[in-house]
Amino acid sequence: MPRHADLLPGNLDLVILKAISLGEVHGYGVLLRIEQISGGAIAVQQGALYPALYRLEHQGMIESSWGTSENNRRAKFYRITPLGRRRFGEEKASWSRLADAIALALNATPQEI
Amino acid sequence: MPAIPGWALLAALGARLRSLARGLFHRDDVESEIREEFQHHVEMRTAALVRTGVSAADAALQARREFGHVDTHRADARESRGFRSLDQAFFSVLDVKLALRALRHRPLFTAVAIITFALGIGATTTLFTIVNAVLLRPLPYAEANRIVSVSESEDGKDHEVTPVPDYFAWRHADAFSSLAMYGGTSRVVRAGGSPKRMSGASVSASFFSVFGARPALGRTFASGEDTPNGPSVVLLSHALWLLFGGDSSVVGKAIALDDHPMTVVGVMPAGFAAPRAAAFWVPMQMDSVADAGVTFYAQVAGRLKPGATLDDARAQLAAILVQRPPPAVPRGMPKPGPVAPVVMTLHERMFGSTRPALLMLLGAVGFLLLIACANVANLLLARGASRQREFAVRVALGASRWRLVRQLLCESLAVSLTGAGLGLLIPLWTVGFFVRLSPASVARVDHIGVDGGVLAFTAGVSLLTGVLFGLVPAFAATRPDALQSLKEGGTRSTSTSAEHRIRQALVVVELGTALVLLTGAGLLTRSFARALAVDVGFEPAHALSLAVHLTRAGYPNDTVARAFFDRLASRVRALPAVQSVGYADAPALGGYHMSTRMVIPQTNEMSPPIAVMRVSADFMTAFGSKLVAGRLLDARDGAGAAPVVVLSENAARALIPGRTALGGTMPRGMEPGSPPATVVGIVRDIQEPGLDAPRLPQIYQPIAQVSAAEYPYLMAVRYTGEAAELLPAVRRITSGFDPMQVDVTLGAMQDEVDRIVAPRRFDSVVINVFAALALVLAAVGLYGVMAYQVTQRTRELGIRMALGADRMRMLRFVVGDGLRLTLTGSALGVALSLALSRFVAGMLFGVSAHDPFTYVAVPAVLIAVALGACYLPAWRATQVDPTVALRHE
Repeated sequence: MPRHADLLPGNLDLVILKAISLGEVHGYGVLLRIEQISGGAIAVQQGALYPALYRLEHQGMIESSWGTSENNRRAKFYRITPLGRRRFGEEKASWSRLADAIALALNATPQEI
Repeated sequence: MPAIPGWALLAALGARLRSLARGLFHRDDVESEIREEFQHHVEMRTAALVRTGVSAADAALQARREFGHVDTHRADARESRGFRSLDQAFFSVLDVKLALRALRHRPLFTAVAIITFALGIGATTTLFTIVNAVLLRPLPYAEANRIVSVSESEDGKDHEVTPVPDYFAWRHADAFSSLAMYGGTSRVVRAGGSPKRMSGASVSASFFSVFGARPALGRTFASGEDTPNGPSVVLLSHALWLLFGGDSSVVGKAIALDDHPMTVVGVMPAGFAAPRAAAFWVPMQMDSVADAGVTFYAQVAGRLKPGATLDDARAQLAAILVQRPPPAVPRGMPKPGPVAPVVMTLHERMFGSTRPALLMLLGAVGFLLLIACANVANLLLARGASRQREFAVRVALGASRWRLVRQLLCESLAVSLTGAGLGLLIPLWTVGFFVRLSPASVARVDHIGVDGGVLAFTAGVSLLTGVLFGLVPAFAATRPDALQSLKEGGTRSTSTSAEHRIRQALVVVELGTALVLLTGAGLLTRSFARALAVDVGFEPAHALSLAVHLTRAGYPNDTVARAFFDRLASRVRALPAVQSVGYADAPALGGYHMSTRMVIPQTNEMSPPIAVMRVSADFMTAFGSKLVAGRLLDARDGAGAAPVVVLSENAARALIPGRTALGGTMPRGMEPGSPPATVVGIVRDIQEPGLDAPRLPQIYQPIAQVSAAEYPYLMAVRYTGEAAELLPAVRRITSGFDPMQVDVTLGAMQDEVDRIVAPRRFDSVVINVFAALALVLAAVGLYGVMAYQVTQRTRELGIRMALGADRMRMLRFVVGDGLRLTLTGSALGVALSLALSRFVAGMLFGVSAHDPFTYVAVPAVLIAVALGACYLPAWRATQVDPTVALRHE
C-alpha cells in the first residue's frame, strides 16, 4: 500500500474520528467535514479515505448502517462507538502533549540551555 | 500509556471477529456494498462539481479521475478489513504449485533433502514402533494398570515367585478385589489329527476376574474347582476352539489332555491368552497345606480395588507375612533371611527391565533426527541464499515478504512430508529384523507394527520439523536488506556473516551430536565384546542341550525318572556323531538351583549359598566343564564307591579356604548320614556372559551317590561335525520315545549362551546403526558447508593465488577451516558425552562410562571422517584458476 506523506494513517484516523464524532455522516460527508473543520488546511487523499474508514470499522471504533443521503440515494452512514470515543480521547490527549512539547522545544531561548 | 480496561479489549476483539466473519460468510454482500458506497461517493462529488458550474459529463469524468482506480481501492479496502491475515494466511493452491515446481527445478537438492529427512524419520519411527508396543501400549486387559504382579523376596533378592502357602494367606488382603495364582503347563492335545504338545496355564479360579476376562461361551472355573481332587475341567482358547471345530456345542464335551479326559466348561474370547500365549486353562488344584516338606511355588497376580495403591498392597501383604509361622528348616541349614512382598504392575514385571535400554535408544534416535533436521535446514539456508535474485524480482513486482515466506514454508513442508512418507517405509521393512534381534519385543511381537499411534507420531514430528526448520531459512532468505542490496546491482547473492555463522553453528552441533552417538556406540560395543569374552567356564561349542521336563503323572518317583534318562542317554549315545552324553538335575545357565550353605570349620562362619548339581557319570565331559585341577566326575563314582565331589573354583575358595581344596574333604556329608565327600577335582565356575561374578559357585555330585534327588532335567550331548545333521536325529529319538510324557526343548548349547547376551547385542547393533547414520549425515553436512564456502570465496581464493599462494597453502587454508569446525564440534560432543554418560553407565559391562580409549578413539574417527569430507571442496579450491576467479564478479 503506498504511503501518503501528507497525513500519516494515525493522524488521519484521529481526524476522521473527530469528524464522525460530530454526528452521523457518510463517506463523502467525512471528506467535506474534515475540510470544513480544518479551515481547508487538510485535504484528505481520496484513496486513503475508505481504507481508513474500513480499518476503523474493523477495529470497532465506528459502526455503520445504511440510510438515505441528501440526494435521495442509498448511502452508508457512520457513527462513532464508545470504544471509538475512548480511543479518540486517548489519541487527542497524547497529540496535545506532543504539540506542547514541540512548541516548548521550538521556543527555547539561549538562556534556558 | 494508561491501562486498557477489559471491556475495551473485549469490545475491540468482538468487533474484529464480527468483521472477519462478515467478510468470510457474506463476501458477495460486502463486495456489492463497497461498490455501492464508492458509486455514491463519486455521484456526490459529481453533483458538487456540477454546482460549481462544470458540465455534467466533465464533472463525472473529473470525479472519477479524482477518486482513483476503483479496483485498487477495493483491494486496499479489503485489506484494511483484516482480510489479509485470513485470506492469505493459509496456503493456497498456487503456493503449493509454485513450491513443487521450485523443488522439481533442483532435483539433486530435493532428493538429498528428502532422503536425509527420510533417514531421520525412518530411524525414529522404527524405534518408536518398538517402544510403543513394548513400553507404552497397555496390556490388553480391562483396566490393565490395576493388575499387579506379586512375588516374594528373600534378603532383598526377588525370587519372582511366591510360595503357595503364602498365596493362600494373602488372599484375605483388603487391597485386592481378587488375587490369583498361576503357572505355565504343557499338555499333549489331540485336536483334529495328530497329537500336539501345546502350552497352557494352570490357574486358580480367581484368575479370570483378576484379568477381567469373561468367557465367550460357557463359564470360567467355579470357586470349588481349584481344590485338590477337584474335577477335570478345562477352558479352551479361541484358537484351540477353532481346532476343535468351532461350534458352540463343545461346552460340556470331553477332550483329552495328556490322554486324560477333561470336560470343556467354556471358551475364552479371541485375543485372550493370559498369562502368555496360553492355548488352554486348567484349574491349579492345590491347597495351602505344604506337601511333605516340599514347597511349591507359583506366580501370583491380583487386581487392585479402586483407590488402593501399590504401597497399600505392599503394606498389607507384609503385615500378613509377619504373622505367618516360620517355615521348618532342616537341621544344619541356616534360617532363611527376611522375606518381604514385592508388588509391581504386571506391565512392569513383564517389561520393566527393558525400559532403560529402550529409553536410551529413544534418546539416541532423537539425536539422529536432530542431525537430519539440521542438515535439511542447512540445505534450505544454502538454497535460499542462492535464490535471492528470484526473490528480489518478485518483491519488486509487489509480492509481500509473508507471501515469499509462505512459499518457502510450503517447500520445506513438502520436503518433510515426502521424507516422512518415504521414511515410513523404513520401519515397515526393518521392524521385523529388529524384533528378531530384540529379546524384549519378542514378548509382544504380535502387537508390533506401524499403527495409528505411530503414524500420528510421524505426522506430528514431520510437520513440526518442517515448520521449525523451514521457518528460519525462509525468513533468512527473504530479508529485506539482502534483497535491497541485490537491487542495487550486486550480481552475486551472498549470505550475511550472520547467516553463515548459523550454518557453521548447525554443522558444529551436528558434529557434536554425531560424536555423542559414536561414543555411545563405542561404549556399548566394547561392553558387548567384553560380555562375549567372558569365560563361561565350559565349552558350549559342539554341544547340544536337551531340557526334558517329566511330569509327575508319568514318572511318580526319581528312580523311574533316572531310568528314563539312562535309556534316552544310551539311545542318543548310539548315534554316530555323538561323543558323550550325560544328564544333570538343574539347568546350567540361569534358572533355579538347589542351593546349600555349610558351616566352615576353620572360621566357624556360614558359607555363602552354593548351588548343588547332581550329575550322571559322563555329564561333565559332555558338558565341557573346564578342569583346573584333579579330574572330572566319571563312571567310577558309582553308588558303592567312596563319596566324591568336584568343586568350582569359587566353591573351593568358599568352603575350604586357605589351602588347596583338592584331596581335602567337605565340611560335612552331602547326604544325611554319609561321611564327608572327598574333593577330587576343581573346575572353572559356570559364568553367565555379562555378569560380573558367577551367580552361584557350584558343587558337582555324582547322581548315583544321591539317595533322593530332584528329577534330572538337563541332558548335554557332545558331538563332532555339524549340528545340522545331528539335531534331526536326536529329535527323532525324543519324539519317538514317549510323546505323551515328554516335554523336550532341544537346541545348541551355544544358543543358550547367546540368548543371555541377546539384549546387549540388540542395544549394540541398534546404536551402531544410528551412529553410522549420524556420522554420514554430519559428514555430508560438513561437506555442504565447506563446498558452499569455497564457492563463496572463489574471488578471495583467486586473489590469494594470484598473489603467489601455492596450492598446498590453499588446501591447508580450506582444510584448516573445516578442521576448526570439527574440533569445536568434537569438544562440544565430548563435553555432552561426559554429561550424559551416567545414563548409559548402568548398561555397561567391564567398561567404565568414562573409558579413556573410547573417548580418544571416537573423536579421532570423527576428525578423520571430517577431514575426508573437507577434502573434495579443498581440492576444488586448489583448482581455482586465478584469472577466472578474478573476472568472476
